[in-house]
Amino acid sequence: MAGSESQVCLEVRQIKKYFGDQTVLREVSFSLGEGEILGLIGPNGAGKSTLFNIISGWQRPDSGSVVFFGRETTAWPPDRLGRAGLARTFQSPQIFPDMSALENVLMGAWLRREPRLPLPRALEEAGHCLFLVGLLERRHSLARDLPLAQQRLVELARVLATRPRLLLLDEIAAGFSLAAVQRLAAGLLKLRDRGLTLLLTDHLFTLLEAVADRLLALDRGEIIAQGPPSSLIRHPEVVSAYLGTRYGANAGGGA
Amino acid sequence: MGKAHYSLLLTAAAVLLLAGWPLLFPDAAHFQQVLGLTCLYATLALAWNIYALSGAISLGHAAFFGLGAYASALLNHYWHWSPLLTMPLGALAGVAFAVFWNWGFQRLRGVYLGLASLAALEIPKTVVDNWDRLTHGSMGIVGLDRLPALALGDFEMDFGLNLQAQYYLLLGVMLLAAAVHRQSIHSRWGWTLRAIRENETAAQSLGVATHRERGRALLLSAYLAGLSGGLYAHIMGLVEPALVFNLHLSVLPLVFSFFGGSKMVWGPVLGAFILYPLEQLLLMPLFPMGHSALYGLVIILTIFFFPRGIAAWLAANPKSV
Repeated sequence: MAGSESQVCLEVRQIKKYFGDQTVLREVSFSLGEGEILGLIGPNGAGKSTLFNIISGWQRPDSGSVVFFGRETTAWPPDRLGRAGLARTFQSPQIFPDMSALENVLMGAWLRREPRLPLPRALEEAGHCLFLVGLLERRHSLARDLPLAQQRLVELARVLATRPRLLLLDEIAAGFSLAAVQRLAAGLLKLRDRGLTLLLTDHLFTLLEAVADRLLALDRGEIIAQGPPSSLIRHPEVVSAYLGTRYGANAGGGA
Repeated sequence: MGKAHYSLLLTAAAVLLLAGWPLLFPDAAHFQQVLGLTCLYATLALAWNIYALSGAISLGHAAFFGLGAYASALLNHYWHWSPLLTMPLGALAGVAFAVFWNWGFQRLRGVYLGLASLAALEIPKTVVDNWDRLTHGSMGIVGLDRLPALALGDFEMDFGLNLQAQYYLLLGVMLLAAAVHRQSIHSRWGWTLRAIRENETAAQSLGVATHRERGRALLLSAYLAGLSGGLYAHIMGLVEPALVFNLHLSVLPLVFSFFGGSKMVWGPVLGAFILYPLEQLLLMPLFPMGHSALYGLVIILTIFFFPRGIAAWLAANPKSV
């Protein structure tokens, strides 16, 4: 999908990040073409969330840079990145608890700077985004009363309502049933067809396998492998990062 | 359709009642004075609440009130400018302090912001108290011009000496503040404030510059609080640090807002109009010794039974009106 003629959406250049004397990310570099879906995998503590936070402006790297559609954004605060079209969801969903599901999504459509929509149009768009994630019938429920998985969908719908150019999804499918994951995968592919670029992490391969063009495996702050999902999941280094060296060696022999 | 019409009707009836009663009881001077001050404190409560809509609980609004009062008093005392000019200009002193406040407290939230704001109140108070050559220190400034009289042909409104006219002026200012407050809830900007209040992380990731928007709320809030201070100075004809920088003036708007309902358009006004006249017209004459204790008890019981405020309870139970 990231054909040679397509624009580069995101470039991550030699990002280093330390927490005290611990190295969390060591020289991570990759790029993402417009309209591409890239999955980021890795065991707990691999540095996925830190990388997400750096790309979306919530943390600063110790060195290296982030370039979003040709502009260096390493030092931008999250709200400026949000206005520029970089949107994200969080591992623990960040909702407006005392607003209804629809009002939550409305915040995405109505508070957006460009284009400024009048309230009725924003409401219409919010309803549409809630429909896309399959939550329209719960639109009047208070967000705080929804189960966690549905709060994730509310957050997703709200982020879609900002009409982002790049969307970062941090373990969006955690706690989803298989059917829900498949529905989500179909929805994400449809969004990509409309030009959205996606970067997502997940513990489950089900979603990544279904949507990602390419996977990037991160372990202890380093990219250890990358490639299409089908081959990467059997990559010996990836398997050993997840399951330990014994299984990694077996997988390597078997592949 | 019912709900919007119902609330519009209720608002119109309340405004009509507030505007009409002095015409029916033109000699009730004490009532006019107490309800005039109620409007003033309601304005302060509305001002306080605009900042609270962004999720910030301030214990330092007496600073804006006092700075507005002193700036207006000084302009009037030294240069003899009319209060009509010094009050709106003096309120800018509160805004100037708010600029430093917003910069200095940008990383503080919740209880910590409350404590810092409580401490911030001491800064202008101490400066005013000790700058004897300019402010006459703790003696204060007396003999300020009263609110002026305005004449339109034969029709004269003396806002300084005629308590009925003064009441109407204070009511007008309060309604203006209420309109600003209403916009700070219902407009797109109002929803921005609500987003910040409910989840700052989410608001920021939607592209809301949370610090700047909360700062705007604070500046607006400080201006209206400063304006209340200026009005107070020229109603009383004097300013003293112990009077206009009194902690009481920080607590009052908080209590009125929470009592009435701090997320409701009319919450702060309702709180002021129940509590202040209750104390001044009922508890004080009936229980001259123990009225403060009773006043406290009423507040505690009400907040216990109506934790989201009277206005929120009324909105949820319209049939009980």
